[in-house]
Amino acid sequence: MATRRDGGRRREGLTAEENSGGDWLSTLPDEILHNVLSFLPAHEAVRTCLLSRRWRNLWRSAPVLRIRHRWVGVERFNKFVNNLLLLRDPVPLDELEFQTYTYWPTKMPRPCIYEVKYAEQWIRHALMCKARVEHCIVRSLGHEDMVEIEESSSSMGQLVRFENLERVENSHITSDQSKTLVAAIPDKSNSGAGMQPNSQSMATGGNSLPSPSCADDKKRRVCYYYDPGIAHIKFSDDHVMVPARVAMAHSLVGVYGMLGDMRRLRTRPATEAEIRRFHSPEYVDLLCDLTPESYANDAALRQKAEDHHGIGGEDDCPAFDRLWKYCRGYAGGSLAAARALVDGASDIAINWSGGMHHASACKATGFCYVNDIVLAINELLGTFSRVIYVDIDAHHGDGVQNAFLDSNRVMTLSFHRYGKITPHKDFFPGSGAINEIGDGAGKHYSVNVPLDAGVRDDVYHTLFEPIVGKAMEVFQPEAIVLQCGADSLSGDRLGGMELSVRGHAECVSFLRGFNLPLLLLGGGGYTINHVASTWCYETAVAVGKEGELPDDIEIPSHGYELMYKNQGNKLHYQTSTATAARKRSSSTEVTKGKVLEHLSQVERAPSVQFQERRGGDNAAGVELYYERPPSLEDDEPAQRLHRLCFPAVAKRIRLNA
Amino acid sequence: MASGSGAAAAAADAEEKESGSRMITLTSNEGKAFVVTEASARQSATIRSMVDDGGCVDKGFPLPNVDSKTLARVIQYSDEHGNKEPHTVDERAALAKFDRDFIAELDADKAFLYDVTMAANYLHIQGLLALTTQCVADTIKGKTPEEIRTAFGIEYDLTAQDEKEIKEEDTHA
Repeated sequence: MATRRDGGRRREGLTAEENSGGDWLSTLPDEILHNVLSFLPAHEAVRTCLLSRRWRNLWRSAPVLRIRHRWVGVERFNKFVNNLLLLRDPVPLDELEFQTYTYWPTKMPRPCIYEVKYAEQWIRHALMCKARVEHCIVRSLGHEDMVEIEESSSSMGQLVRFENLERVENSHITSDQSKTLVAAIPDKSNSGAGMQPNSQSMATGGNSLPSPSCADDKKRRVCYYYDPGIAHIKFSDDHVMVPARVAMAHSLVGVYGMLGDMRRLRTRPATEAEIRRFHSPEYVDLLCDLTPESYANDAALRQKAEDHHGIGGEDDCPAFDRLWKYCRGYAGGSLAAARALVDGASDIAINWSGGMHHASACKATGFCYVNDIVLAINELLGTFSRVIYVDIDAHHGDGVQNAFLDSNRVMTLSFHRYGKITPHKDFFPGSGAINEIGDGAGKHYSVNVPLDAGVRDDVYHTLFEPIVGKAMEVFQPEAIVLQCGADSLSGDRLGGMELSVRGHAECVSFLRGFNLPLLLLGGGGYTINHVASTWCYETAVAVGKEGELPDDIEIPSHGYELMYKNQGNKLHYQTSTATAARKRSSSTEVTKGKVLEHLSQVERAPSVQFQERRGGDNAAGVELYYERPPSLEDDEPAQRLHRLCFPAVAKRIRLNA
Repeated sequence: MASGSGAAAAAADAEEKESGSRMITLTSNEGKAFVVTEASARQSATIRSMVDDGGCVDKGFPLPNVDSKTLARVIQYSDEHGNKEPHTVDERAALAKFDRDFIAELDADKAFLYDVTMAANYLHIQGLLALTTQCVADTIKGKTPEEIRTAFGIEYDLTAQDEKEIKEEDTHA
């Protein structure tokens, strides 16, 4: 007897006998009380939090939820279940049962199918929580009188029953609903691996996973800009620049479950005034006026566009439909991203639609019309005394270099392919020789690392890390802008370089490690599936989750999956081996030596005299650009739910973006 | 229900090993031995895994966390559920009636209900645990928090801060 009484689970040695008049129930261990709660309808189980401190949080970890109640109106029912699932602890859910119905007064309009508005999310959530059996009956009655469940089932009830996730029976479901409900169930084959909530990942949470790029394990606050409109922008029918690649990257980011790890920046397009801060008035006027129609019909306008501003034709910078909208969109994204860094609200800000590094103040070139990078850097300069710009596009970042050629507050550092591609033709844009080092006060603040075609990861990084490291050391920037042009990847239609996804992302990882405000922008990239894979992976690097996208990870079905067929449906596609034999050029060491020599002449951390700090006025409004903070009545409670409870699992079985 | 000395049980066990209905000895914390059929003992997942591991089948299983009175009652349950498999509707109804009577008796003696619940949990007898916890749940069901506190003698010790938090998050509670 004594042995049992002294069992560690008892509180203060109370025995049932001694305590027969007292609170024996509360002395039971949690697991038994969970069992008790499992028999209670969920609303009563939750109510036990009012009993005492012992009971305060017990309901949150009960493994069974039985939602049984009559609800006055669907809204209350929805709200209750959403709150219930949200406030629950992230512990496995063995069973979720809905046996409930709602009713509303006859006078009110009948909400038809709204009662199952969230059913899909709930069921998905339950699957992620490893629900064993789900029994779901949600019925709605059109009369004030309560009708027994059995009687109503033939009219407009819905019955869904999942048993061990193997069998699905549904009856009284309109075909649309049944589709969504069935879609919510992963393959049996997946369910084994995907659904077992890995206790480790649950305990640590995805975001705080140690990241190789980040020795301090510090979580970065990442914000992310994406404008869905970009999916419909087309330069021309066969143009190599396909803005929809950004939509593809976004879908991948979504399907791997990373959207929840970032704050979404929602912003207005850049205003004309903002764009005029860098671009010439005539050029901005032209961009505003230019449409395919005006280009075709207005000879004077066409003349002006072609002769002075580099716009025209079909191949380079055509006057395409919604050009101005497109420019304002990506420029607005980069500006908002810069403001998020200025504001201090984010450590890393991403705009994959930005990075148009060739555009000059009055001229479009190299598929770039508005130089969002220059606009963003100017925004950063309002607060940060020195900004480093690193460009890993295959092409020289000429537009940005020229804009800050004489500035010692911006160091531009471009790694690019350089040289003749035919005896009479340079690789675009032809600038970026090693001896271009800036002008005037900006002398030594432009750094160029010209590379040969076919450069692979190993060679690239023997240059990248020492040079960027040295630049960081001598320049001591307060913010970093990284243009992640993805045409330096192996297999690009234009770039002719041989970086792998990992090799490219290594640059992001390296710069992230400096723990400074980091603006990640897109850029070139013309084999769009490679581009999307890379930017998705680099997003993972930014949020510190690249460990969850290993070498062999498949690209899940998400709408664009057919685009990745050529790369074997793998995120980390095989780089071509054809050029593997290319030997490491001896010029690499020479280049490295020269560049480091230039860098050694940089005056260490130049002091800056501020004429004005422009950060303040922008910072005031920055909150406005964020997505509104989520509320419990938000439209997608289950999305939030998933990332709160099962960041790692949610990613694996997120079914569509 | 069989009960006897450990030696007798071991002998019975040896004899019946082939037939598949071995006898197993369970020993309460007071040292009292209970001999039960293997089918009955297997109601307990704890014992089942020990038997399957080939552990101390011959020596019997000491159960230091269960006293004799409780163990006897638990065995009553597991004999009923382990030794018969209900096939017909009648048999199932009979078993359900057994459960009802069983729990009604326990419900009258809360202290004993507590002991049996703890034992069911320790021995991992799912059916019995469900029965006892269901009984508690039934008591809670439909009551206001105040009524539940009275029924179980729970002391109200939530602070004003707790109350505020609860109000904020559980508007539905």
